[in-house]
Amino acid sequence: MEKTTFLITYLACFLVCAGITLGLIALIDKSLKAYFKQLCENARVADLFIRMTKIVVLLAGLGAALTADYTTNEKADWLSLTWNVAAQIKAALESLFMAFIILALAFLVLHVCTRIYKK
Amino acid sequence: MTYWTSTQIALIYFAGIALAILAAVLVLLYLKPCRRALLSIWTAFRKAGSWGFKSSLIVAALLGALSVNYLDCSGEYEYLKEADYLVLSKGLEQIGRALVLLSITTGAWLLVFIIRLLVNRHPKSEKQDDNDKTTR
Repeated sequence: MEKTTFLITYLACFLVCAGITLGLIALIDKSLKAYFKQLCENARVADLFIRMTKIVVLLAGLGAALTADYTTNEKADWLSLTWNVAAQIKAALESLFMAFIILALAFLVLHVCTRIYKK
Repeated sequence: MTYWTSTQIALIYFAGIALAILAAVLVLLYLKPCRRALLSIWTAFRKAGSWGFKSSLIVAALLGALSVNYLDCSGEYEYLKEADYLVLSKGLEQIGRALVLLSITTGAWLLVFIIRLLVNRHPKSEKQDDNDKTTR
């Protein structure tokens, strides 16, 4: 296989992972605003928290998508390339999944704590 | 086959570190408009808290970039000179690890800030009691 094939595949795969990450951020944007406005009762602090949450998700997705161990030796063929692509996407999704689960659990616990505290 | 020189490998290594630090600086610049909010969370130790936050982000990025090892088991890097994309892959791995570590650190700080905000908040009944005491 030609060397440019690996490069183009890697870049395309990275762009897909970045697109998924940005899409997920756009999806949760409204909910984040509603959650933090209710939690903070202060627009400036809510904005800070929203920005930080977006950074956490963005960096988790992009960081994992960048790390890819492609097999580029003479034995590499389309099948090994497919597995490499799958591994790159899997790493990005895994990282995003972990970030979302941890943040969701933390936000849930904080929400429950504030509810109990208010009562 | 691409042959890499020691200088080229060193260049990629240091470029990886520089880009990792740049990523941390970009995160701080993105959060700069919210500086007042950041300071309002810290009721005490404002400077220490603010500097701790900034320095921990930069150190996290630096640690991530430095954690990638270019040497093999015998402590040599000769294998990299004859490898095609391995050097580039190592450089990208540096940036990737830096971003992941940066994400973890930012997430930890986010939780610290939220908990700090909730702890600072007085319940309404306590606030009323305080107000009554001051008026008396």
